[in-house]
Formats: sequence, structure tokens, C-alpha cells
Amino acid sequence: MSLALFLEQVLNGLQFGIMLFVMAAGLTLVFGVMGLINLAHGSLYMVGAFACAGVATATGSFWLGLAASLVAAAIAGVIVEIVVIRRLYARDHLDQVLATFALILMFSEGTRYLFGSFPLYLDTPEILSGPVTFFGGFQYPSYRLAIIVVGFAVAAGLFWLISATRLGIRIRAGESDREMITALGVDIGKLYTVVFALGAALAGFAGALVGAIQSVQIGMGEPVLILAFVVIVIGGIGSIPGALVAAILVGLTDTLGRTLLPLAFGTFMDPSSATSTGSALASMLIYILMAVVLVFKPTGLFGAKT
Amino acid sequence: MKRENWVSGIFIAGGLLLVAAAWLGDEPFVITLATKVVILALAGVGLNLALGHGGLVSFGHAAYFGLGGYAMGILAYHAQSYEPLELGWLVIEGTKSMPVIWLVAMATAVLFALPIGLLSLRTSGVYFIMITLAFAQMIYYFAISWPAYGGEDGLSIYVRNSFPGLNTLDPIQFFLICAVVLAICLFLVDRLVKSRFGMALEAARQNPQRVTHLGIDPLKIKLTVFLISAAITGLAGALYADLNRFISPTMLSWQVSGEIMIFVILGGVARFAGPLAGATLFIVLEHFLGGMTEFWQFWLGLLLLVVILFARGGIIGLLAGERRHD
Amino acid sequence: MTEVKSNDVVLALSQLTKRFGALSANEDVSLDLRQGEIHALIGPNGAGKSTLVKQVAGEMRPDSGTIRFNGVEINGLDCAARARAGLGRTFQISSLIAEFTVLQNVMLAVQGEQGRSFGMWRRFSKDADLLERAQGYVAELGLQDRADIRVSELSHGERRQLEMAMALALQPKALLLDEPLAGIGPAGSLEMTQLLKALKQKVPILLIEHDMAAVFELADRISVMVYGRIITTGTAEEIKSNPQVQEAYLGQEAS
Repeated sequence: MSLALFLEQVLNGLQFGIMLFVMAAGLTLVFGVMGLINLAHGSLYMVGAFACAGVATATGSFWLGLAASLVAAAIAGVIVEIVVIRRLYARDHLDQVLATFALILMFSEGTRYLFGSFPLYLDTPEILSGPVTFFGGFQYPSYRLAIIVVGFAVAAGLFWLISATRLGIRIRAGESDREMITALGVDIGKLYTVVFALGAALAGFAGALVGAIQSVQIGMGEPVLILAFVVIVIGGIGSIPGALVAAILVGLTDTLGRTLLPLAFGTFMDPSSATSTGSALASMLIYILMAVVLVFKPTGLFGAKT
Repeated sequence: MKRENWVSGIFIAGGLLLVAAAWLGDEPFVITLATKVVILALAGVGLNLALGHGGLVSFGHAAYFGLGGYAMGILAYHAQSYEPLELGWLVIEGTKSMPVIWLVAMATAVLFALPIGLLSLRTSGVYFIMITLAFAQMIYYFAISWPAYGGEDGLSIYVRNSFPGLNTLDPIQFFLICAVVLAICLFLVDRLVKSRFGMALEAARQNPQRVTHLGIDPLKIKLTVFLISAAITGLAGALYADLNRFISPTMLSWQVSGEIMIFVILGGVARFAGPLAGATLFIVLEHFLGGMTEFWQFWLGLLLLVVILFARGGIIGLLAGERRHD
Repeated sequence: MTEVKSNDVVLALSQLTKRFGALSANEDVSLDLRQGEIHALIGPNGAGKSTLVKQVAGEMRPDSGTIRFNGVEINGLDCAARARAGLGRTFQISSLIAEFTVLQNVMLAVQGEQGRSFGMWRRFSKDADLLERAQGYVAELGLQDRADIRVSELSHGERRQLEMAMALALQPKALLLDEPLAGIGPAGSLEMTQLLKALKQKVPILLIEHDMAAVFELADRISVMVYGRIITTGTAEEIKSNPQVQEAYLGQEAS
């Protein structure tokens, strides 16, 4: 394999990983602060993508669509939190799983009712439609490069938010001691709504960004949701740095595995069975990675000891 | 407890009467629908054992359901193509015999559940939920990308498998096979739950630490129940594949895990007839709501949400009151 | 102190040390428990008694030193293995199977002792073997009228009694009792004291208890732990008159 191809795959893996992080960040925050497992997080991803595609088609501006994705997912998040999620904080995880599973059904069918069953296509914005040429003539799509940059900017912003702002202090206090934070006079209900909306907005944002390179369709959120679960399990539930490290790890492992494994098997197998064996194994690679991490660290790389 | 028995009894008797009426009135579609209910209930019985009685919230039981299905599909495929399955030194003849297929399906489910259970049981709570889900996804993606048995498109089996002395293509006979399998499993699970093992399991769910100090290893108890649970769900998968004469990775998908969970919760967690009641309601809703609106799953979601938020204990819980351990 | 033959020793801790960072919770602790006796471990709060109990029970590993039970080193065994080997215990905070009845809890303990927990056919509730023995222990602790009550509805004192019944059901060769008298009121306390007196002939008891009157009445030997060390071991009379002990306790109470 040429160096250029390898470099391209690394960047693809990075792009995949950083989007997984933006998705997983909300999930892990919501779990860390509220102790809630939210399957409907994938639906918020979908809401963001559809809002972006809808607004972009209507106005012709991708950027308006992107803004709409943040707003729509945040609003959907606030509504869901107030109407349903709030009643689930004190419940066990089984109830949370099922109630949010029910929400997925409602979101998916609701979206299908509004937009129909056919996938929507979202074009990348004009200025980012061409490739970027690096030294030595290596080319990479500028939109994907922009996603990587934006993703890392979001990560930096989140770290800043958590470590340096009042909201961040409250979030950290909420993670470590729920009674204390109430005693300090913080309106915990409002804090929970804000954290949930923040996570929702991030999910919607990721949905919109990824929607432009894949298609926007019903059920697009769930595969990503499950990968985000893998990410936060590997990283340690509740840990933002853990989510970042694990997301990049998962993104690179998956992307590189899909290119490298069939090649590796090709060195001692005939091409067609190398491709099938290699790609079958590659599709399992991140789960194997997760299993290995769990054998050594049952609460994830950055997880607290239980 | 007495009241729950009555509720379960009336419910089962009602179901059987309905099927008898459909048979007399020559309504094969209703019988097939009832067969589907029975098979899905069986999958729920498996999950209920782990989830309800063991407190092991597995969100990956589609793996065992699908593996059971694939065990059936692969054996039948080799039987209908007259090519044995060659695994290196091991050569397996295909078969169309249901009892053999069932055993292989259960063994396959257990074989996969063993490493998955060993790894997953190192964790608890949310981690357990997510990890069981992730392992099921792993098998799902493997099935999609492995081309030998149809890959993403699945695999059709032309003729339903055989059972000695019966015509399995006759809907009522196939229904009876499934119903008897379900009855046997329900009976065995009921014995198990009330046995020494069942009490150790119940105690391990409530207070694993304490059980350890009584000299009982909660991990072994939980792993054992996880394997039994997987075997039952795997058996259901083999029957389901036979009902449709078709297997595909969809059987392994996470939505199926969610649906099996719904049967258990709608019906009532850790209730004898809970999975049957839940599966019945699910299929009835699918059929009638599905007939009225294309978006029936929206209403299913809403109903599920209401049950979870306001009617804990499911259908059996509503009708029979709080569960007791006696 | 009376001379004893070494084969009377059931449980022997020798030179146990456990540190948490710079803090030394137990330092060079040696003590033994002999057939037919109650050996009480007393000391001010925070002296390291709970840490010691956890090491004996197997919840914590000592940094150094050995624990021998019936002559066999058990450092490497976990809680469950120690329970099976015959080391019985009760818990400071009652920890029972809350949704089970009194009788079911004791039956489960009998089952744990018998070691047949993978029977999946016979009914637990009709298992005559379990029932008879469990009913015996329930009666021994005076809980027969409460046998069918769920644990969640028991009073604090009754839970303590149930803890004892479960510990006995395991047919221990030694008992580790962590504050069995705490919170059970004067009447319950009197009953429990009588029971322990009768019990020690069958099973030697290592007793951790704050109720000094009960300790002086029950214990054949008393060890005093201060700042993680055992400062002295002796009979009730010896301990009462020991100036070091008085200082440790009075010093504690004066502050």
C-alpha cells in the first residue's frame, strides 16, 4: 500500500473517531452527571441531520442548516428531558433503556412521517467541496479535513467548558456529589436540562456534519449510537478525556482494519477469500478491542474503580 | 401468587381456544400468527430468566436468537445442497431433522454465550447492558460481511424441517410443536426458579456480596443462568427460522434485542407468563395497529413509554398485583 | 493467663500489617483464638478493628503477616472460600436478602454450607433437608414466630438475630462477630449475651464489641487495640487494671 493511501486512511480514521467523540461526549456527560443511559441519543443525531438537510434544501445554505441542526437537536433534547427523561433519573437502568428505546421508535416513526422513507442528500458546502493538496501532491477532501478540525475544536471547547466555567464546575460537582450541589443552591433540575440539551446539540451537530458525507436517513443514529457506547465503555463511562482517547482509538482501528486486514490476509490467501475473511474480521475488530480493554480494565481506560 | 396463576391460566387457555377456533374455521393465517407469538414468547422466556430472575440486563439476546436461526439455516442449507459442512478436519453433515437442529442451535448459543458471559459478568450495571449489546453487534456485523451464507441478503430454506411422525408444513401441527416446546421450557424454567439454584440466583441478584459469604459463588450462578437463558433464546431462534424458512442478519440486529426485551417488560418482569403476554400484545399491536397506520411503531413506542413510566409490573403485574417470592 | 496447648488454637493471626499510604491501620498484629473461648477485641473508634476484621474475613489482603485457620494458612483464600472453610461471621451493617423471609434466608445459608447450589429440579421450599435444619437455627435464635416475615419488615434487633442464625447455619469452626449487640436494646442484648455464652462451647468466637459491660461479662480474653497495634492481651480483670488501657480509653473519652 502506498504511503498516500495509508495517510488517507489515517485521516479517515481520525475523522470518524472525532465525530464519534462529539457523539459520545453527550452520552458520557449525561451518564456521568445524571446516571442516565440514553439510547435516544442516536435519535438526536438523526434529528440534527434531518434539520440540517431540511433547512439547507429550503434555504440553499449549508451553514444555516448546520445552525438549525444545533438548535433543533437542543430543542428536541429539552423537550424530551422535561417530558420523559426527568422521570427516569431515579429509575434503574433497565427502565431507562426501555423508555429511551421507546423514544427511538417514536423519533424514527415521527421523522418518517415528516420526511418520508427515502434518504435525503445533503451537499457539502461549496467552499469545502474540493480537495486540499498537501506537500508531495497528496490530496484529501477539504470537507473531511474541516470535520477533523471542527471536531478537535469542539473537544477543546468542551475541555475548556468543563474545567474553567461555572457550568463546568457545577457539572463536575454534579458528577461527584449530587447532594452537595443541591446544598450549594444550584437548581439541579435546570442543570440537568442544560447538560442534556448540550449533549443533544452535540449529537445533532455530529449528525449534520456526517450527514453531508453519508446519506440522511431514518435509523442512521443507531449504528453510531452503539459505536458511541463502545467508545464510552472503552474510555470509562463519565470520562470526557477517556471518550476522546477511545473515540480516536476506535476510529483508527476500524478504518485501518478495513483496509489493512484484507491486505494482510492477501499475503497468504487467495484474493477473494482474503477480502471476505479480512473484512469480516475487520468488522469485529473494535469489539475485540473493547473485550481486550475490559479484560484488563473492567471499568474502561479512564474509568473510576468500582 | 394464587391470583397470578389464575391470570396466567385463563390467558393461556384463552389463547389455545382462539387457535382451536382458527383451526376449525380454517384460518391458517391466525394459526401462523399464534405460532409467531409462541416462538417470540419462548425467546422472551430465555431473556426473562437472565433479566428478570438473574438481574442480568442483557441487551444482546438477539445474538442467541440469531445464532439459533443460523444454526438451523446452515444445517438445512447443507442438507438441501447435499454438501457436508467442512471445517478443517471436522466434517458435519447437514440435517433437516428438527430435534437435531434444536440441540445444535442451543449448543451454538451456549458456545457463544460462554465467552460473552465470562467477559460481560466482569462488569455490572450500565457496562453490562452496553457490552452485551456490543457483542451482539459484533456477531451481527460478522454475519453481514461473511458471504458464505448469504451475507446481508440472508438465506432461504425451501422446505420446512421435519419432525418424526408429523407434517410440519401443516400450520396447526407446527404450532403444536412450538407450543409444546414452549410449555416444556416454561415448566422447566418454573422448576428452576423455585429450586435451590433459583433461590441462590434470586439471592445473588439482590445481594451478591452476602451470597459470597454464604459460600456460594454468585458469578458461577449468574454465568450458568446466562448460558441457560441463551440456550432457550437460541432454540426460539431455530424455530423462528423454521417458521419463516428464511434467515438473515436482521435476526441478530439490536432492534430484535430490544423487542425481546419489550416482550418481557410489557408482560411483566420475572413473571411466569410474562413473556407470553408481552409477545401476544406485541404481535396483536403489530397486526392491528400495523393494519391501521403505517407508523404503528410510533404508537408502540408511546404505549411502551406509558407502561414503563406509569404501569410498572407489565400486564401480568396490572392483573395479578405485586410479585412475591414464595 | 492460662497455658494452652497449641492444638487448641483455631485461628492465629501473626504479625499482620496493613497500611493505607502513610497511614498504618494495623501494625504487627498477632492474636489467636482458641477452642471454647470468646476472645474480645476492643479499642477506641478508628483503632483499626474493622480493618483487621476485613483481613480475617478475606475482604482485604494484609501487606504482610499470616492468617492461619485450623493450622492452614488462608491468606490466599477469598471470602467465599473462607466461609466454606468454616470461618463464620456477622456483619456490622446488617446485610441480608431483603425480599426473602427469615426462614428462606436461613435455608439459603444451610444450602451454602451443604454446597449444593446447582440443583435445578427439586423445590427449595419443600426441601426437607434444608427446612428442618433451618427451622432448628431459627428456633435457636428465638425467631420461630417470625419465620415467615420478610427481612424488610424485621426490626433491627431481629435482623441481628437472623444474622446469627445464618452464621450458625454455616456450621462454622470459628465465629467472627462484629458488634452483635449494637442497636438491639437492653432486652435483646441480654438474650444475645446468654446465647453467646452457650455458643462458645461449640464455636470459639472472636468478638468485636463496644459494649464494655458485655465484653467484660463474656470474654475469656480481651485484646486492646490502639492506633493499629495490640497493646495488651489478658483476662477481664487484667485489662480493667491495666494503666495503658485506662490511658487509651480515658484519653480518648477526655478529648
